Amino acid sequence: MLSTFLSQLQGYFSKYFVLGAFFPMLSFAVLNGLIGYVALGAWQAWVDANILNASAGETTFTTTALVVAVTLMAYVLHGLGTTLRQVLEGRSWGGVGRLLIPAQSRRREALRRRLQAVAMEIADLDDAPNWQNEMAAARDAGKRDHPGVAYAHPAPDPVATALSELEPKMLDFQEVEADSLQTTAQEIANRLRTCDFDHSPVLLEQQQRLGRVIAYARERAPALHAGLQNAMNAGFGAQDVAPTSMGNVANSIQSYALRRYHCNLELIWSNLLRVAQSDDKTQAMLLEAKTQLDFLVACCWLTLVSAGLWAVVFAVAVPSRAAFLASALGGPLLAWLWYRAATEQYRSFADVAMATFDTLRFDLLRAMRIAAPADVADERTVWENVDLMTTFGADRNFRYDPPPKQ
Amino acid sequence: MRLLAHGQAWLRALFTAGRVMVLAYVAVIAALAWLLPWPEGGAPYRALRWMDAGARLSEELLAAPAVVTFEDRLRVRGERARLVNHYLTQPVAAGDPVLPHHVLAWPLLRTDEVVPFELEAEPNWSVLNAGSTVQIWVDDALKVPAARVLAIVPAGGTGWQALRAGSDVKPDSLGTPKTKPQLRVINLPRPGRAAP
Repeated sequence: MLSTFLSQLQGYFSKYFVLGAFFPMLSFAVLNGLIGYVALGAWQAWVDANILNASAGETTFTTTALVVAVTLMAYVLHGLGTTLRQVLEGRSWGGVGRLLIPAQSRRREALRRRLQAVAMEIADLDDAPNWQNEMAAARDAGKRDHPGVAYAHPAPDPVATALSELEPKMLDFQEVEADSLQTTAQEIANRLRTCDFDHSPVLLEQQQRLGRVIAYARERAPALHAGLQNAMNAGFGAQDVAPTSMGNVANSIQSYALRRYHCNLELIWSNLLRVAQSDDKTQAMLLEAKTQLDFLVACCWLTLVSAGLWAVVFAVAVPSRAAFLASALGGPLLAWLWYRAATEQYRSFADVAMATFDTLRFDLLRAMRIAAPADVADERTVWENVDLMTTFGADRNFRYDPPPKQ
Repeated sequence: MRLLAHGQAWLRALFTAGRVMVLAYVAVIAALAWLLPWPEGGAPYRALRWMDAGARLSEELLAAPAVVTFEDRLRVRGERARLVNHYLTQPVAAGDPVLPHHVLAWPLLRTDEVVPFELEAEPNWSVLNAGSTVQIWVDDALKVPAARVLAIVPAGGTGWQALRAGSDVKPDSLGTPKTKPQLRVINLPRPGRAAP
């Protein structure tokens, strides 16, 4: 019966409604119904009388009525989807939102500082070839000035100590500071100048070991920088900081378009969706990502609402301290997990949205009858002008391409 | 001073507004859980009337407890399953609690000699149960004027057997195997009433 109903449902509603709103609502209705069956005597009696112990006709009628009710509630949930998502993004939170912003700002600031530190490390490590050259030159000078002289290592040997600290970091894929590398390279160069490296095998080995650590550090630092930059770009927008992680991920979409194309994406988003409809695969990809996001957002809210209702029930109707605590604390915890999952999914959706804009931006310009730009600078000017004209009504002119028929 | 500044920064990072709100929420819920007047549940099933040791419990012999708390709802269902169709190990007065440790799956028979009497169908447990006094008739002749039932047990399939003390029944009281003796209840179970 359910499969028939779902087939019919898809005839009236899109599969994205079924997946993003109907299934979450149905799942939570069933789950709450089961909890109610255990917890509430009146509900148990009603279910027994009208479904479990009723005639086939009565059971069918009651079940159909319940499924229709669930469908209606799912439709309401679907309609509220954008609002519910925006609340999770931290919009309309008023004073509470302002209280939460400093924590997000600190998170962004910490990321920015880390990014800056890694950039400084990269700049320092760019000098590594000079350290290597200096050691090579010192080696030649030592052989020339002190032929046959072996280097006598002090005990304890500071270079050996430094290498014993640096090499484990390399083996554990940890960050290696450029300063330590430079100091050690300098010390090895100083030593090489005072001896013949052919007669100082341990010193030569130390130079080679340091060379491996330097190569590792030079390879790792840019990768770390790229990772941090990606985290910054995907986790925060360039504009205001939102009170929640999800809000900041949402901001990152707009920032991407602004950063790369100087385009106000929010302004042309609806037009972009219309253009995306002409490409089935792009549209499907976009809607799949959006549906998964809607599903998780719906689950988050339904968990929160269900937990709230059961907390009241367990406080008043069928009192139980343990059940009250479980629903009042466990419910929000579960909702938070849904929220975290939704935030991660939002990143995926943001990726898809950005890729869609990357792919379809010229189609969008064509749909707007704006001539395709010649180069990157030209494109940025076009999007800036579209923004100025649309947002501020600025006096900008575009030549229609192709021109409208007279 | 620098240490103090570091400490302040650490505290600011640790106690963000969000975390403070979560802590406040948890504190409110914990306070509610502590302060709300949670009713005491845990009422047991009670006997509707006096029952002798060996009585088989049925729905009509037990008064279900009032379900006050959620735990009651979870407990009562399981407790009912552990009581109904089980046998009392000791007599229970009307209104007394009947707890799972008061019952066994098979009656404790405190006499060495037990005479079974075959019943045609499941009896009405309120009338015929351990402690009931019965007469046995064979072909319109009263063979046993009064015998006390020790227990009634299932005897395979839909059959039942009433067990009585051997001292109440003489060897020829039930007639030959071909005869079909009849049981007649003359007294319901009641306390302090021994078999005549």
